[in-house]
Amino acid sequence: MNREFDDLLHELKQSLKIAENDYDLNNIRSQFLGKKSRISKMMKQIGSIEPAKRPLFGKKINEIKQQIDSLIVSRADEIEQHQYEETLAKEQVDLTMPGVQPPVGSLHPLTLMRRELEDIFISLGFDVVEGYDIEDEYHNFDALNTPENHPARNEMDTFYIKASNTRPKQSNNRLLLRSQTSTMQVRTMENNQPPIKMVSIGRCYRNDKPDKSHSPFFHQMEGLTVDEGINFLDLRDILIKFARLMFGESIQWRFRPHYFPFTEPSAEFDIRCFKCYGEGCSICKQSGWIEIGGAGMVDTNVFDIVGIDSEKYTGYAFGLGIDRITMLKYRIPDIRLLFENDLRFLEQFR
Amino acid sequence: MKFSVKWLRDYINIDLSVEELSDALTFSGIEVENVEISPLAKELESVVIARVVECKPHPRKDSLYICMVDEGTEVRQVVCGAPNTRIGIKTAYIPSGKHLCDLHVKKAEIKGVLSDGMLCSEQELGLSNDHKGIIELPGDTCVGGKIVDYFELDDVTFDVEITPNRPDLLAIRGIARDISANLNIDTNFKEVKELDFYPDLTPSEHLVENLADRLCPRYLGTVINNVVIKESPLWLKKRLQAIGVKPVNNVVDISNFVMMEYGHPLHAFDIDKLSGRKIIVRKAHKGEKIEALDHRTYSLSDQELVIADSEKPVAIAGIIGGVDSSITESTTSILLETANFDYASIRKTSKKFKIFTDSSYRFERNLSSDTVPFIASKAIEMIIDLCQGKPISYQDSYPSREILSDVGLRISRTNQLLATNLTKEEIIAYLERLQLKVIDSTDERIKFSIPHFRKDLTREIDLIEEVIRLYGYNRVGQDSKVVTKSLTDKKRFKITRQITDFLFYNGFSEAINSSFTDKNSTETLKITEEDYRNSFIDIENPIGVDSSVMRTSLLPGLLKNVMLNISNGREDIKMFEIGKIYYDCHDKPEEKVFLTGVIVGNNNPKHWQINVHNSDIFSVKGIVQSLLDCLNKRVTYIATENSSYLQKGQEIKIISGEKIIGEIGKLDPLIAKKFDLQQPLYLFDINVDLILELYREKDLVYTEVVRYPEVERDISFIVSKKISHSNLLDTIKSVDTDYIKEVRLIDQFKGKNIPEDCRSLTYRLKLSSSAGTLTDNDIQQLMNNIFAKLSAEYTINKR
Repeated sequence: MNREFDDLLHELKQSLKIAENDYDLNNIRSQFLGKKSRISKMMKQIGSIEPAKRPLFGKKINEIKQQIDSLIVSRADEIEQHQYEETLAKEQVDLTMPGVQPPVGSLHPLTLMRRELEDIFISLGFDVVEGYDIEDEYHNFDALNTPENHPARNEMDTFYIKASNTRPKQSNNRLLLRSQTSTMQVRTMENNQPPIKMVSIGRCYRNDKPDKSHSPFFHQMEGLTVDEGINFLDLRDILIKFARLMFGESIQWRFRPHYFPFTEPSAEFDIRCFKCYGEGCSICKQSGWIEIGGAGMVDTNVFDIVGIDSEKYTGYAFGLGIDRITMLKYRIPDIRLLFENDLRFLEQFR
Repeated sequence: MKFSVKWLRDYINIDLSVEELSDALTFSGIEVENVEISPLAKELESVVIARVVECKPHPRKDSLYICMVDEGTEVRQVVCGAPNTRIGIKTAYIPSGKHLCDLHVKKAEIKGVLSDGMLCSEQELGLSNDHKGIIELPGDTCVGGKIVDYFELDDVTFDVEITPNRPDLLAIRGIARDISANLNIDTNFKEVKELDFYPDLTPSEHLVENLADRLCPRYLGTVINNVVIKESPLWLKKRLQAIGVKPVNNVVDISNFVMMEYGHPLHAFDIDKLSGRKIIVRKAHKGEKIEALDHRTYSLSDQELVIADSEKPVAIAGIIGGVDSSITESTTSILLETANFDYASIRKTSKKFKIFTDSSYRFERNLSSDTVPFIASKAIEMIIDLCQGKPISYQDSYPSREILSDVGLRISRTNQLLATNLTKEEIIAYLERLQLKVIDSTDERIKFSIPHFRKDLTREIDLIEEVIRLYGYNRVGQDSKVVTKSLTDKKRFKITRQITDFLFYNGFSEAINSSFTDKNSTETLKITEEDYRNSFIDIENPIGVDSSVMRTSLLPGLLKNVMLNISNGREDIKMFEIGKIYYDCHDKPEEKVFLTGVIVGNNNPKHWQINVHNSDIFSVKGIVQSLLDCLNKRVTYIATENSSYLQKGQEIKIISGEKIIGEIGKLDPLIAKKFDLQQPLYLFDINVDLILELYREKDLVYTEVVRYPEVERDISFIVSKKISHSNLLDTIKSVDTDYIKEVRLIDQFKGKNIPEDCRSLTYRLKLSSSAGTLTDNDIQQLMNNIFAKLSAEYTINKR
């Protein structure tokens, strides 16, 4: 009997040795444990064994069955481990090779700056308003307290729209390309009563000869707040908040008295040069300061023109040169680079 | 917190509709969660008053009577077993077919005699425990009337949410007080008598021993003898039932009633079961046990405050009473506990043992010790009245009086914060409605004393909040003309960013070009004279001839950019610009935002794993399709041949409704040559302003996911090249709109074995049904139908 079992186990071990996969193992399992297996046949003989020996015989058979099973299972584990290792070996690749990248283009640096400005001012509670490029003298000058023959009109060389045959020259209110986004102050106050808190970003035009720092078209952001009790401190506060959000918490800045026809008191504001920190360098033209924009309290004349009670309401306005801030931020030395659309330039902005 | 309208009207004379009362509560800061007819009224809805007009004994059973009952509209026969059944009695009748609580009254034969409906006892009606006979109503009662009306059960119950800072509103009197302040209507509280009104009630020194006055700032115990425990009268039960409190007996009902009225819990002990006939307020001893009224036994530590007699705890203070000392039918003397406990201690213990009772709920919200004598008097009054009790002695342990600090308010501060223009007198009037009293005032400052039940009012801002609450949150700013509106064009803002981002993430670089151009720019593109792109706006003082007009298209600028980059050695270019174009429209300058994009060279860069794919018209169409899909723009793409600068047969117009919103195409090779452009250039040109005009905010609504498996089937056929894909697609989709979830063109084949003027197309269909798994039969049927429909409309050959 034991001999028979030993033979059986020996045979099993031989078969398992050459087994390679699940299919082979399944065959072995049915061969050694299936209905037609020798062990099953032996089991059927139990009736012919004398009753006293039967329990022992049954026990022995079960032991052998378990032994067979565990041998098959452990061989299965071996095969699985082997297959796993094969897979790992097969899938060894050079992981430094490039991945499959979806194509990415680039956003124009002015778009990046525009978004940053919009997000900053939206977070400070401003609405974002759209304007027109083609304006008239009234909105660009008269309503901004810059009447005809005002000296400020000559300073900006304004592009005028040519009168056509059917559109005769309206000498009193000619069409022009706006020279400043301040037109949006007027348009917003014409159409809305305070409280007003808005910024407007757009293109402006001045008849400047193109060079490193001039382009006949450029971009500005206008800001305007009108409400009861708005004061000079509110203006300083909003601009310093902006400067900190844009250039970092530690930025130094200053207000300088200045003149604009449509604000009084008027100011220009500067930030500390971020390259030389005040030592003087080419970026700040040795001054240690960089001008960021103009600002001031809305002139009461402007309120009177647009029909807002200048006794009840006060307001502040400010304007920022977006191209200029973009150039400062990304250290772009020449404004013309912005509009050449050379991909070697554009693709640096992602 | 529940209250009923009838109960509320005991304290305030209001005649408001449910909606009006709900509004008054809402704007008082009391959120209404639910309003319902009182449960009892709902149950007795069908019960009417009837008169027995005939009554004779049942022939087959002695104890039964056969009655003819007049219920107002009809006379019905009812078999009834009540001993007091007799001619002329007015009683309650429920018709058959109706429900009374869980009982469905049916027309039935009782010992061979038909009984249509049922006469009811007080117990059956849930009015009392009396089941000796049918209910007897006075002779002048109106037959046919509703029992609900007769007993005034038609109450309405409000379930309201009280914010945690306002324990004073966990009382029906408190709610009345707040509504009174809100609507400026007086309350009609009946003032309770002082304790010394009762001549036999004398102060005692041996009743209450308070050993923990930090945790129990006040304990007033009153002994009442001669108490008769019985059922409460109907009015009391009605009040409690209306707010979902089950009546138990007169003493328990009274303590519940007083708690609901004043919002301050009280408890009654059977004094005969108190060892030493006294109360000791103390911390529990470690290991002490108490079986509470919830029949659970709690093991106490030295952290909990208990009410004890001379031997053992008889209640967990402020939370739950013990079983041993509770009121039973045999109780004759009670000790009434009216007390106040430290809220933090109550909260800790209640959380520790997970016992949450009406009592703990209130005490843990920091009640006022000064409510104690009021609830004691009210309860004594009711016990005398309803239990024949005789109050004999009391002891009030109140070692340190609770004092609320006065609170000042500045008029200018109030108006500044609330944006109001209230005068001093108006502010005082509002706060006096809440029973605050002016102690002292100047033109700018008013100092108020705070009523004991408003411990939440401790700072100026608390008073300002009360002012605005009574003035009305929604009245603020109503008389101001200023309406703050956003000036931002959110749609434009969002879509502009979406478009630029989309193109950026799909490999396009953004260009920004000058607004100026020269007139030749459109000439090169052979754009006709009439085209708006030739209605230039001229600059009077241009900077040069090449910038003498405003651009009417973004394309010339981009073409220039392409040439620059090609000359720089670039082969694969994808660029776009989003910006304004300007033209003269009937002598008025127009500004429109356009989006123009160009593709030159390969659609994707060379990669070790992926084949290079040359850009073609479908590369650019695909970009536009995805972009417009993202913008939820449903458009159609039609082949056209009317653009002067696009190659014939390579031109698509994008149509939405009646409007052309843009075009897609290949730059005509002859024109490309003029630019020295050797490579094919594909472009799109889209009117963003038109997209914005036609844009609708995405209306995203979930549609149920089909849970049954989806099946894929392909259909291939040979068809004339003249038949367009979009026609074929429409035909396939039209066969069945339920099952066909998606149709995709997956293959086109021309050439070998296919006739010269034909092509072979393969579509892959995704099929599923929300009704169940599709069977092979369903699918086969559907595919047959598709093929039949295609064959009917076109000449096709199945492959």
